[in-house]
Amino acid sequence: MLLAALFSSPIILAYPIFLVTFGRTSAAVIALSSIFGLIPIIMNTKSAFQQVNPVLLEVGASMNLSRRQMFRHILLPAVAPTIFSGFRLGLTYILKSVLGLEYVVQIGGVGMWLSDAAFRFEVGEVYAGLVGTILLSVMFLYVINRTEVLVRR
Amino acid sequence: MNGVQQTGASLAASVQTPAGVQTLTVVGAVIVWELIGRTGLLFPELFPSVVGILQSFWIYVTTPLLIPHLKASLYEVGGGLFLGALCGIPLGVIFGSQRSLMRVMEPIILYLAVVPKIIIFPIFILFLGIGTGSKLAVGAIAAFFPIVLLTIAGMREVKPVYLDVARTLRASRLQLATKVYLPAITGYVFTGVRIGLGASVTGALLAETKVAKAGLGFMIVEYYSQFRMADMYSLLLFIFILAAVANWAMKLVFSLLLPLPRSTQDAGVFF
Repeated sequence: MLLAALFSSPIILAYPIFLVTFGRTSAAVIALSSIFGLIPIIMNTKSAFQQVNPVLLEVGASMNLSRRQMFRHILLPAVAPTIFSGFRLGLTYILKSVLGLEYVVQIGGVGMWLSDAAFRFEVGEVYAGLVGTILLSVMFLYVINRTEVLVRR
Repeated sequence: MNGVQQTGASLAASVQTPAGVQTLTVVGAVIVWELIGRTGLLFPELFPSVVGILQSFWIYVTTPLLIPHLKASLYEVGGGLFLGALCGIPLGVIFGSQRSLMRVMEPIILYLAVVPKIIIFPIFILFLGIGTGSKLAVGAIAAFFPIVLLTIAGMREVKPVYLDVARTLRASRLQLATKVYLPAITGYVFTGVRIGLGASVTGALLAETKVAKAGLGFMIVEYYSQFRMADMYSLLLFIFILAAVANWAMKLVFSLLLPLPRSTQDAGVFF
């Protein structure tokens, strides 16, 4: 509940606090963005473990699986899809807050490049930056999807 | 003795409810904050005492200091949400009602939704100036994406079987729209508008922190640049409470309008 309330509030506006704490470095961007990613991942992981079908656990118990085997072969495949969709959701938020912050406070990165390009009214560069952002998200999504395939095997 | 034990037990029981744990968490965080602020253990300037924050919060509530900024921000957020819904809902219905169009448009919208809308802000400044118009535009773009995506999701909920049944019953196009599509998408559209509100607040206020003449986001950066930390924290608190109240009010109104709640994904797909 508290997490959900925090989730719906515009946390990104708290960025001056992080700037003062960490200085105008990428550490501030990482710190604030990790909060953004943290919340959906926590909520999805929680609901993943809540939704494990008890029948699956009973099957495992009746096959005399050890705790390790139980985790590797029953729990992990059962919770992986929801947890990974949490990762994907988290990625979206992290990407947004990273680029948004880079844009607003001018700390390096694609966001600052976009800001510069728009400031010089280089429309071509702005669109290139947009495409770059999309490619970035596709790349991260690909890595997450590959990891999911590995885990679920 | 027995009475004391009983009250102790009932106290423990009331603490162990979710609300009790939540209250304890908040109270604990406030106490730790106050201790850090009082002792100056860690970044003395960064953690002003809770009393100072509450004092400046009280000033915001009781004096007309913030009224012009509040007006500007409400205009931007409200206008942005209205424009976003005005474009998002019809487009979502159009995209969702034609399968081929949806297959073309949905990935494009999905990928564009990931891009932070704030980066189009400079272009809006050029078109609309540094007044409230450009922030309204950012808020509208930010609100548009969750609304259109959830409307499409709602349209997808209409299974072909429903349409077949309606056609077998010789439903007219109007009846098809009001009896099949409308009930299916209402819940999704409401959720989309609620998420769109959050997106609009984030977009418009973040744009205000960049270039603005008035607004709540503008005031945050003013306080930050003057290093008035207590004022900044209390303003953040003010904004968070405002956003939470708006979100809660919307939930309440929608649950009154829609007596049969459908299970829609609440966490929100794209802010």
